Amino acid sequence: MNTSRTVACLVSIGAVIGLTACSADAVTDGPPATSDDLPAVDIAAFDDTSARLDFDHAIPTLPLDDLSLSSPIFVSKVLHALAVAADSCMTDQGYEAVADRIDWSPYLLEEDRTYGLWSIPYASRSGFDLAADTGPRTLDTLPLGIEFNKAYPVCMEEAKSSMTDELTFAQGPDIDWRIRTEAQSRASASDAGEAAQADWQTCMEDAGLVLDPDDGRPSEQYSAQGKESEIGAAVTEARCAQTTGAVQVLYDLQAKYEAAYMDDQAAQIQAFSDERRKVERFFDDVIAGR
Amino acid sequence: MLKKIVATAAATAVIASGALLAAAPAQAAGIETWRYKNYKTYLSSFGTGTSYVGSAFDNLTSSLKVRSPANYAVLYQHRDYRGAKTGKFYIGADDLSDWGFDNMTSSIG
Repeated sequence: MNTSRTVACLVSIGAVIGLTACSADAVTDGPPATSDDLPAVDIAAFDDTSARLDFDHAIPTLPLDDLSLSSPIFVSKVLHALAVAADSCMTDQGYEAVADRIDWSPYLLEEDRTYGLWSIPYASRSGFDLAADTGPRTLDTLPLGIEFNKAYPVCMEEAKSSMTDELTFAQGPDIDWRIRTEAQSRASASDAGEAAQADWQTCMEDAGLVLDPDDGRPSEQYSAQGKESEIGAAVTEARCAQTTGAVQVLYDLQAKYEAAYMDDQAAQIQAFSDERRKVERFFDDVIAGR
Repeated sequence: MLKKIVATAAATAVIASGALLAAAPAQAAGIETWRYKNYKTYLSSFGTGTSYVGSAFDNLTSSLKVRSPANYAVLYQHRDYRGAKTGKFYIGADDLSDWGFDNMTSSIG
């Protein structure tokens, strides 16, 4: 493993930055402890909690999902309200309303790459690029002409200004994000999490992949070699995620930590949920024209 | 973490010389980034779907604004949308340290 990483360093960089990075021991640079204001929790009582993984779309189902401000239901509501508010500004100037042209039903969530790539179908099609047709639907406004496209960004800024407080809440950071980030960090840094990541990396190296010493993922040089090479590396990474069971271990650990923190932070979560309901009602009113 | 610290120091030196800002083309893609909090020292504009911000801007963003045509921005710790990430920014943030994400951004989705 160390030999491969040394080779990767020597051939992939010529800059001071890279040389300095290579002088350090190879590390797995997982999610940082960005929410370290949360106290440690014991996950022993959450042995039965696990993550359900959609391997086709790289979407984990986790305890915190319904609470998350990044859930498709909540995000669609925010974007829909913004579009309706922008329409109001646009129609005042004689342009047509466009918000109703978009399907605002919950969309297919973007793939989750917190620990690496793990969807073989996506990797086969897109390599390291994000899969198409995920995330909120958008409207192609180019056919609406030059003047429309000049006016719309101005109206969107006006729409945002009309709901700054609600958008600020919708961005966070709040307890949902803090718990998720902390859970990811602790899952990644745990003994079981580190062992899973080591298994994943060993599998990739056994398959002949050169890994980036900074994060233990396939070297960026595979992209530079062309799409076919990139897809090959991405597919190997995703396949190893599954065959080693590493991705399941990591998300199971995350699920346990999320559940433990939801239990430990119940009062904060209740206050957050109350505020979230209030903000959702605001967006509902904007969408309904109330 | 080593990579983050070294990259930041190196790129800051380039910015101080003025060469980087002069050479950086404006992409007008909606997600505007700044080197320091409170929108000080403009870096560049990116679109969603930026798999790597580039070595000149890697791990340098401290504040950002989101404008149309971008619906929102999610900042990622590593290239190719890997590692830790922020929530969805609809308007932006004047201080990414509130997210523990100061000088952390490598890709934007």
